[in-house]
Amino acid sequence: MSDPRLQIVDFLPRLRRFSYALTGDSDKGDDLVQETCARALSRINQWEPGTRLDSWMFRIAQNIWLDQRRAHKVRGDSVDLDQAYDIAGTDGRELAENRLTLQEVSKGIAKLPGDQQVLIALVCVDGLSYKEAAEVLDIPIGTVMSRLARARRALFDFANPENENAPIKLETRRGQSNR
Amino acid sequence: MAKVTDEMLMAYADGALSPLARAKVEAFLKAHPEAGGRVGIFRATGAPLSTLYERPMAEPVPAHLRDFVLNFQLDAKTSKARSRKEHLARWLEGLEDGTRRFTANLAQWLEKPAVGWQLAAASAVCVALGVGVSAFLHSNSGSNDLVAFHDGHIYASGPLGDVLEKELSGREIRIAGVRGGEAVTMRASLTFKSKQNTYCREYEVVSTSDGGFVGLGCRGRDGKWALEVHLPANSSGKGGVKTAAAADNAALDAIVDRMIDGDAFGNAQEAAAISGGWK
Repeated sequence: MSDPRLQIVDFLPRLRRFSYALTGDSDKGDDLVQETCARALSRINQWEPGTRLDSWMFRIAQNIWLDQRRAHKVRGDSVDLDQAYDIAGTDGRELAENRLTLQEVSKGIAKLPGDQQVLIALVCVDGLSYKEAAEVLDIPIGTVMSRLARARRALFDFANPENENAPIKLETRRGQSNR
Repeated sequence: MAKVTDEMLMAYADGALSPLARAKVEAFLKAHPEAGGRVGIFRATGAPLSTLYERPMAEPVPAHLRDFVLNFQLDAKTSKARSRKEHLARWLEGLEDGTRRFTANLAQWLEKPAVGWQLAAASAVCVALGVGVSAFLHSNSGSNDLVAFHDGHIYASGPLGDVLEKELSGREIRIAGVRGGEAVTMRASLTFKSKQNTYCREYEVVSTSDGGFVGLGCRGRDGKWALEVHLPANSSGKGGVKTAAAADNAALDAIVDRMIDGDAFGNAQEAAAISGGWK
């Protein structure tokens, strides 16, 4: 029998990974997991069996996370990244050693706005396709892609130590990407 | 050459492009090597992230989280409604496969009367007598004319309850208007004491359109007759009206044989039990 509690337990590893990436801290991540499960279980009638439980629960986790961020907003923590910018000092060639560490990525994600954090967690950490992420968030796939591209450029910039204190340059693109 | 956007470079880095689009991007990159850096950024911030955060996938889920979920009290109404629908669906599947499969499963059902099975029995009664299965399913703990559902068990009520409680075996009670005026007859056909020391009675229900059902109810200490068994009867006789005959039904006989303590009641013993209020 499809007891939703059993299905949720099966989903917990992925939810923990998602929450760990969002919060940057495994304890805070597990708190978010527990809150998500509490909310999901208390309104389990709203989930239609046979539809994707993971999408439904990611949506709930996202809402809780964004509410928490709004409530605890600290000035200066996150930077408004709606403006396009270029990455200072990027070598033209694809760098062979581009690997980022967990600490760097964590620090980078922490500086992003909430909706970009969620996208990175869904696509890059959990591995959802752009289409699946679009369904979770109920936004067009084009929006997913442009927002995600922006988020990843920013993440890389924030994560890279030499760019930590570099001012954000505002440069018009020359036909290479959309805003 | 058409514009190649950052989104396309990202999709290329993620391996999400069709072969045609991929070829286009590769051609672009050949012509514009300076764009390689951007591809590198997307590669670095793509799949590697899931490896960086893999710890929760590789370790067991903390016990407090598992326990929290497993012990969470689901809204009783919800879980009952869900389990009802699932059990009914399974029973209906079995019904379509025919009586043979029904019979084969009966032995195990007897050992452990499951809520779902008893529910299915009640649903069968409802179906047979046209009492509206969907109405039944939507009431959490409710009753209709012939059965009542409490705490996961189905009990005879109304005219069926009266028959089991008060009527000698063989005495037919006819009910009109159960489904748009159609009449239904029912009677008890056998009484005995079970090995669990409860009074049990076989009953039959006949409707002109749905044929017949035979079943078994056992009286609990609370005076309610719990429906333990409910089967479509073997149809006997040809043409028009199907009649139920509990005596013909080998499956029910087999169940009674397993349950019975001693012999079936004779008339006098039955009369005494009824007038004595089944003490």
